[in-house]
Amino acid sequence: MEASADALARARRGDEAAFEELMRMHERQVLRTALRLLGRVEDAEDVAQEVFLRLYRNLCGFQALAEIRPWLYRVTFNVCCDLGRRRFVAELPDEVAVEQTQESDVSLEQRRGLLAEALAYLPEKERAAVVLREIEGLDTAQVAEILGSTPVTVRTQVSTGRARLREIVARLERRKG
Amino acid sequence: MMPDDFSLRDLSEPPEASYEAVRRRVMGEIRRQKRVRNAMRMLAVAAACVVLAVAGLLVLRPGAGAVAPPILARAPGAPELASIVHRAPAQRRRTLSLMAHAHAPKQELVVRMQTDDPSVVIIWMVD
Repeated sequence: MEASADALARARRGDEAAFEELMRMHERQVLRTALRLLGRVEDAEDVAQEVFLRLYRNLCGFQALAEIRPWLYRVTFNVCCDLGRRRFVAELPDEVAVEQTQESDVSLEQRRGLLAEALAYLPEKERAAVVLREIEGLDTAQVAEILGSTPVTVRTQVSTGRARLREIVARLERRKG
Repeated sequence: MMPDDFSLRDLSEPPEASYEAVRRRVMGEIRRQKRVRNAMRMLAVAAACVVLAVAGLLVLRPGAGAVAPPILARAPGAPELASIVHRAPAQRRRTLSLMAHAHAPKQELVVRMQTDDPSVVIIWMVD
């Protein structure tokens, strides 16, 4: 931890190796979140690049390493929203919803693929709430702070998002099956 | 199908190559920005050196001290006579004299005319 804090101090002084070290510490968080929010690896890479460049420009604003993590989530979400609005507008497959109790014979791997695809169909904030709360494992208050909303709203978004995910996955299964 | 926590958290990870690619792109962009900043700094320094050199040459030029100081402002010249308009003061003077009369104490003019007859005297009084 001391070495990490030292990396922040060195990076603030312009040490490129130290900044690369900081990037390695947080790259999984940023790239994974971006991938969950956007659904495409190429877009996630673009977002991660922009996020880390912003981190580099704002290094002087951080006093402690712990401040970086929530900041990165917030900026990742914002950059994903910007990029998502420009490039990616998902539309639900036009198909009648199937019964939720219907058993599916698709494999686990296929289900994961369907889930990843289904995430892209969720509304922006719902998707972010589900990704940050359910996948990244942040608590509701942290998610609320990142999304600029209240914990109550986040809880609602997560709940609605999960229900909608279930429905979308069923539709996708039906379409592909 | 129910997307439970396990399946959500077990979504496929970004490929390892992506991390490396992002790192390379970010560091490349940072180095490029640094190069641009350094080039701008060097240009600024070079421009400052040129300005100083030119200023030094001007100061050290032979006879530079004998040069008369530049004229920054001139006193305005006398107005041309032709342009002066002479106004007749009559009106004013008249007004003044009338005012003087108005304020002067009233005096009676008495003209006494004597005739051949010493007992007849004509007195003409003018108010």
